[in-house]
Amino acid sequence: MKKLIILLYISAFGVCSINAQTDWHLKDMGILNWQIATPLNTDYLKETSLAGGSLEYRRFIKPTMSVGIGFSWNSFEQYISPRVYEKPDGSQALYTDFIHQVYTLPIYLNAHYYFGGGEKMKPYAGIGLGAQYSEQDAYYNIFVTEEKNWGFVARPEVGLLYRFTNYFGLHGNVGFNYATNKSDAFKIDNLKHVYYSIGIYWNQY
Amino acid sequence: MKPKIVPLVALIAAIVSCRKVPDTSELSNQQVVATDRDLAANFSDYNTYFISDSVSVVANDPKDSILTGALAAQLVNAVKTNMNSRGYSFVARTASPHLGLRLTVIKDITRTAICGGWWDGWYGYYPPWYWGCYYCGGYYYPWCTTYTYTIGTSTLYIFDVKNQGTNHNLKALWGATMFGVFSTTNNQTNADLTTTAINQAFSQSPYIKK
Repeated sequence: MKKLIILLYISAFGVCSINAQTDWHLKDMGILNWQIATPLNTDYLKETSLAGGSLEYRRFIKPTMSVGIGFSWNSFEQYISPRVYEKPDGSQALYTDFIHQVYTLPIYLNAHYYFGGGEKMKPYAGIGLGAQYSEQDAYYNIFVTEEKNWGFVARPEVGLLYRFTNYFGLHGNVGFNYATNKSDAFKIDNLKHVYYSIGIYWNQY
Repeated sequence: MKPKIVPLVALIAAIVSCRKVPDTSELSNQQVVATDRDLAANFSDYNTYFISDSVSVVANDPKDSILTGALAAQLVNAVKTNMNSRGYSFVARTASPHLGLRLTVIKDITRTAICGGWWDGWYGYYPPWYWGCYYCGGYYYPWCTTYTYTIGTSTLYIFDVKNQGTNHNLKALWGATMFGVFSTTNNQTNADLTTTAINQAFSQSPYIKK
């Protein structure tokens, strides 16, 4: 993942230096993404999820800066093979297999800074701050244990816009989603994942 | 303005409900096994045990209170095999056993209706009037399926008969609760599930040994 971030930075700044001038005007922008995410709370589950997406609105208050609102959703899932779970004092033990699932829905305000600006590509860095709704489920046999909670969320990210026309183009970004959702039942102190998005944007100016 | 907001809200609602439904067929149908022990108990202090040939049954039918015959023998023999392998000797109830074991099976028949939405695998299916209703994208035929299933819960307890007080109160040294879905029609399947669960209960309790 580090390599991917570094690559994105290099390509982003490279594009900045190549494209010094542009008449690319961005004003009101909507972005719809497909989002892949890798959870970092590996005690509960660790499989990368392909089931996710995001929808954002950004308003440019300067040619190099936008503020907006957005939300994303990710559905993580992993099968846990049968095993024995023991209490630390050895008094109780439980044997079963599980399907662990986490659903996250961060809703956030965002701010982005756009570096330079070429004719085709525009790199940016930014952050989203807001609240995250989440559900954590453990399915076993025909039963399910479910937890629902809210937390504060912070989402720093870097990304790239690729213009097809003044109204439409491609979008990609990489970010880190950290949320303070807690679950005593599942011993979760926070929820965090890295996400990789690819999608389309449309611009009205 | 309103016509624009309605489909946008519907779109957002549809998008955020794109939660993946787990494939629960991945889960084994083996019983969940939970065991609990008295940390103060020293299981090597006991030599003999007794367990009845019949199994207590708690079910919806009040007449169905005891299980006998081959199925009961299968379950009781599973307990005996495990106890014997741990160094304990089976004795008659009249021979003052040190430990008393009691096995109970609880059958709870449950009927439920599960109603699903389009995300449950009905992709591409729309009611006939859908195509003529531009803003009705959020509405689909409701469908429900009625399932009948049986939850089987078995409990196995080991009581301290050796140290019973003058009032004959028995202290439980160890307990196992085994639960999960049961077959609604095949009792042999249920007995096999319970047998496997009994073996697992002993397997995760290695401290039960002479």
